Amino acid sequence: MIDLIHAGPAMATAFFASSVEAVEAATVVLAAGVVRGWRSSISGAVAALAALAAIVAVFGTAIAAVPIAILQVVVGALLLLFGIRWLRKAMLRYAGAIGLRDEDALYAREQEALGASAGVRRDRWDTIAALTSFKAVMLEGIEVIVIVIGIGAAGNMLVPATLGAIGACVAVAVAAALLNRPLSRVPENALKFGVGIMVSAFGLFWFGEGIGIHWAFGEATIVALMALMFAASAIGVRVARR
Amino acid sequence: MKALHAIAGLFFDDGSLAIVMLAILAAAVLVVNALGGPAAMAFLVGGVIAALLENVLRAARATD
Repeated sequence: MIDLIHAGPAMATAFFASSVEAVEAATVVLAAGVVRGWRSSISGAVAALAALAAIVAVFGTAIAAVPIAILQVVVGALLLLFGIRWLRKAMLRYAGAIGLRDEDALYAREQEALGASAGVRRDRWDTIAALTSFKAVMLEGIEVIVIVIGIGAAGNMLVPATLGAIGACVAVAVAAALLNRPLSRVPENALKFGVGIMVSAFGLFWFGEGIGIHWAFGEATIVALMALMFAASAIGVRVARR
Repeated sequence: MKALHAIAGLFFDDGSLAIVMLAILAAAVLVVNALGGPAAMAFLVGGVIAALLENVLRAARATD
């Protein structure tokens, strides 16, 4: 039985982070499916999911052999770099320094690149559609794996992090299938801002643990680190807007 | 090569921020050995937040 008080932050972070990645992948798979045919597009996506499952199987077993302190330092550093990258971009978008991500515009651009006006026969196997979907799902999927392993491995939270990620991917896939259009109403920047804070807090915590820092309140410190990062980032956005 | 570049891009967006972050992490290891956990904690958390804010403000000003 999963202890939700301890597993909650890991599961929620994995869910929200994975949902951002899943939305990005779904946009490309949808565009490829609509323009060049669903069979090829979905086949490419399924092939990528199979490749990702193989990567998880290999790395999941290998991680168990790594000493915990080394794992905490490496995973903490990677999570911090990953989270700060998202947080920086979201802060710059909120400050108006760079434009907000527009899923509809990306969808239209992807359709154009795939030859929307070229009269492609959608009932035939289409290698371009399959490769396009494969690449999108593979790249975004690797990010999901980094998040799940990063959040889950160092704190023995792989199961809740994996459940959070799977939940997000299933929810996005179902929503995309039902709507049959890009999920442009998902508040992508707010999600990236929040997830950047959550992932960075996990990264700080695990790296600190790995180098021998004893956090005063144990894993509850992660929540305090999130609050601190949120306050600092909110101030940063306000100052950057001026 | 493109795949490696894409994977590296997961962690490194702005090169200067990534370098500063890695420098802070390396320095935190030295601080924890020299001054102990509480000092390293303050250095690590304060350093990361300060580096992020400096980078965001600099990038925002550059686009003005």
